[in-house]
Amino acid sequence: MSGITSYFRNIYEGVTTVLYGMRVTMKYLKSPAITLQYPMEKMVMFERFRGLLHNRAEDCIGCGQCVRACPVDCFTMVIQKAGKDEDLGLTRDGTAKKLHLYQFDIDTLKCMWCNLCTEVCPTECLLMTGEYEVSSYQRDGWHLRFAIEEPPPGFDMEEARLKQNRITNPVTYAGAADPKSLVIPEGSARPLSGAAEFDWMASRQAQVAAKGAKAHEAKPAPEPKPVSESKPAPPESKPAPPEAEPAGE
Amino acid sequence: MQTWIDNLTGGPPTSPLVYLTFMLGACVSTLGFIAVLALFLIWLERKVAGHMQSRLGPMQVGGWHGWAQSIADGFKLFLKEDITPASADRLLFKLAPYIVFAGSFTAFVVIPWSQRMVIADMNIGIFYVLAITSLVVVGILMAGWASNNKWSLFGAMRGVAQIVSYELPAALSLVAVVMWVGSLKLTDIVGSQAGWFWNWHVFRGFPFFTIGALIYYISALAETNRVPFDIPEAESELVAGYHTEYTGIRFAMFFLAEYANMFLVSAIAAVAYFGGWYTGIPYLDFIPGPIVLVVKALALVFVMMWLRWTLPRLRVDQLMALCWKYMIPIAFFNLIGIGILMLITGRA
Repeated sequence: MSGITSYFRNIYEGVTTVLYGMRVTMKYLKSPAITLQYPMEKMVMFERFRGLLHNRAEDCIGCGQCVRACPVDCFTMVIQKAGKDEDLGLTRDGTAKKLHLYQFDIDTLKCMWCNLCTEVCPTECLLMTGEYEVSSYQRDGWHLRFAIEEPPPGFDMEEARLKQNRITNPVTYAGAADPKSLVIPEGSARPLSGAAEFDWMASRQAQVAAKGAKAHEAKPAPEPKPVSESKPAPPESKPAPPEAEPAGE
Repeated sequence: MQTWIDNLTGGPPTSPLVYLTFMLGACVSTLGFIAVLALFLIWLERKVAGHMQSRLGPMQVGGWHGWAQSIADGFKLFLKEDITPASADRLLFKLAPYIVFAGSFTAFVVIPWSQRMVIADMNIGIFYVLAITSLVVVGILMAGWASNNKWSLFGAMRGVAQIVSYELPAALSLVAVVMWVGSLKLTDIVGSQAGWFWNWHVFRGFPFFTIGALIYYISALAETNRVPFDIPEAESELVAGYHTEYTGIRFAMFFLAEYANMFLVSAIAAVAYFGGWYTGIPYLDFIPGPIVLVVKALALVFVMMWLRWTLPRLRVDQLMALCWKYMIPIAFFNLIGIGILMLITGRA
């Protein structure tokens, strides 16, 4: 008898499991495909993605921390100390610039995308963007040049570069284009997503402004606590410290 | 078709030569239809497969959802080098694809696209279809043997065993229909399904014809070597089974034959069980018969594709067990049930 029951159970299970499977497949047929049709549609990277480097030269104070932090020495920086009366302007967070920046090159071929240079930058002008398509038809296709100042006439760039950088015999790339043309300009055709778009400087300015305003505020003197109200007093004083935190966290 | 030609000319019976010309014309147009249909079905298969797997399928070739992908693929196959293995049996090797294709193509002549649109309305319609589709077996065996490749031979032997076995339940379920209708002629079989859709054989004589339709459909899947019965092709096991050694146009013929066969068995299922050229709602009978039949056959082909991307492949012994232990006994009981039903309702 069990032979017959198992026979019919087999038929029943065979039919029902097939139908169940077909329902699953139909559900997938009706749901939209998840394919991203590259290169017509490109994936936008997340905020902390370590893509191509970008330096906002107007905020760069030429401190050279990034050059020192780089494990593969992909930076080439040439600076010159400003004269006593020269006013180079301020960076966006209010730091005065004391160094001319004549050259700030990043050799992307050497870059290992480790993010150490952006971590040490004091003005956060050096950022990693969301740009991940870094192939080129020329060897210096992604040799980035960010400096906007021209060196004065008579300034020996070659000697300064050799003296100020650890790399003494850099590879000169044949067919190097105009130095200014390879900088990714602000608002260029290739939008930078991720870290560069997050305007750190604007948020930093807001923080500095808030801190400065708070510093000038008269701090209210602590109220004399009556002995009978010793218990309600502590809850009153607790809200005060957290209020000052958000500006300076 | 002869009567149609006679009605066209109106007068005395026309000469055999005229018949021959008309027949040839009809066959060539059917061949063209099959070729275009196969191209369309290959594209559809790839799109359906893609969307069932959350991806898109062809999108580039030809612009809108890659509709010209099959044409491009066919063109590519034409340009491929024609390799015949050195120690292959040349004649059989070259003949096999054509016999496989002929096996399915020649059955198209009896499909009734509408009341009068049949190329050859034979008195033995269904019997002819079942017989001529067995030619595929010979073709597959030739392909496997002549390739001089033991894996092709394995695939061919399994394919032959499978197709020959599954002919039985298919024939038995169709015989039940023939018994009910009382004629082997396909136009009569469709004719008995006129009117509303509950006149269709699949809904009549419950539950026997429903089971019969299911048995026929499953056997049709096995006949065309579709998953879950694609052991002969077994893409991931035997490279490509019996058509491993075929390149270029020869492979294209096998491929075309498979999709033509799929459409053929779907069309036969539609004719025998699902109402043929009748829409099932008499008010909609102004819709031309061929369109209705093609839509029904395409719907059944879509279900074949749906099953392909749902089910895993059956092992060859499971396949044979399914046929001999389940399908054939059920088909026999089906036949007996229909006979008893006919006695009860007085149709006999």
